[in-house]
Amino acid sequence: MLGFLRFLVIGFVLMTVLYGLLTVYVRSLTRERLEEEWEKEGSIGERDAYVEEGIKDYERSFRPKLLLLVYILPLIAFCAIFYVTNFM
Amino acid sequence: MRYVKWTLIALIVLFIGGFFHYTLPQHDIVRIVNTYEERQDIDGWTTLFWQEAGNGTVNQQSRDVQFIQAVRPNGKSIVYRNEDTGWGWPPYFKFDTANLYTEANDAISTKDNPEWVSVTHYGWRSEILSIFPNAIAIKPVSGPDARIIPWVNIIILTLLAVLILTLYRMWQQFRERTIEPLVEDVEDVLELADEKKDSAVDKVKRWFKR
Repeated sequence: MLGFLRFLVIGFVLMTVLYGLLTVYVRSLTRERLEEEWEKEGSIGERDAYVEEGIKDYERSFRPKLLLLVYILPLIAFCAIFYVTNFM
Repeated sequence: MRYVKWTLIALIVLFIGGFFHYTLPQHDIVRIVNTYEERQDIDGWTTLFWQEAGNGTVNQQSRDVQFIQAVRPNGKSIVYRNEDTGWGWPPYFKFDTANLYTEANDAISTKDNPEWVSVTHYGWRSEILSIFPNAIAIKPVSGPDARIIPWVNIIILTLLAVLILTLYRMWQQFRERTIEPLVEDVEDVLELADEKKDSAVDKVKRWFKR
């Protein structure tokens, strides 16, 4: 039982680290894309306002929620491995 | 200095390669000839090649371990241990040791009437260290030349490559967007300080020239 808890805690910590890193990374990519978009559209208006607006749109959209797959996919992989090793 | 560097790199590559070679599953096509159970007094650094205590055993150092004896198509022998990995490392989550033992006993065959099976296992056999690979699964195969595609290894190594590439891209992005602007700021400040210093020096020089 202790082994199970240890596995759970270590797994959760690792996935959280990866989730955090990916969140920051994808937001940074989005910011870069928005900055380039603003330039391509002819640099109209305030650049920071344009980027902040785009970031808000991004955060409201479905795409950041896709990062939760970082938790879901390993869980599925774990279930699959568990089933294949013990019951197949 | 160059030799030190290359030795170090070689050691690291060897260590990582060894780690994966030990941990990832491999398939042996063998004929199982016997199974036995033997008391093991596990001691010293080779303890790390055995399962940790906790999956039904309390005492790490002395316990009964099941073994599966088999013969390869070329006539060489190989012995597997049969231990639960439980929740520990490596993450095979093997709990069906007793079932596997039964399957192994069911697959026992003679030289005259061989029944070939593929034994999935991880780990190494070393006669000197007295360590054994841990059997994970036993599947019947058509014959000694059956071809097995290591899908699990392909998937794991691909995912690992993707992960490393992603981490590398993350680092690049972080450097480009966070560190470099900071460095530029610092450089600007330094330049400004340098100019100030120069003008101060000039002032002093001029003061002396008077």
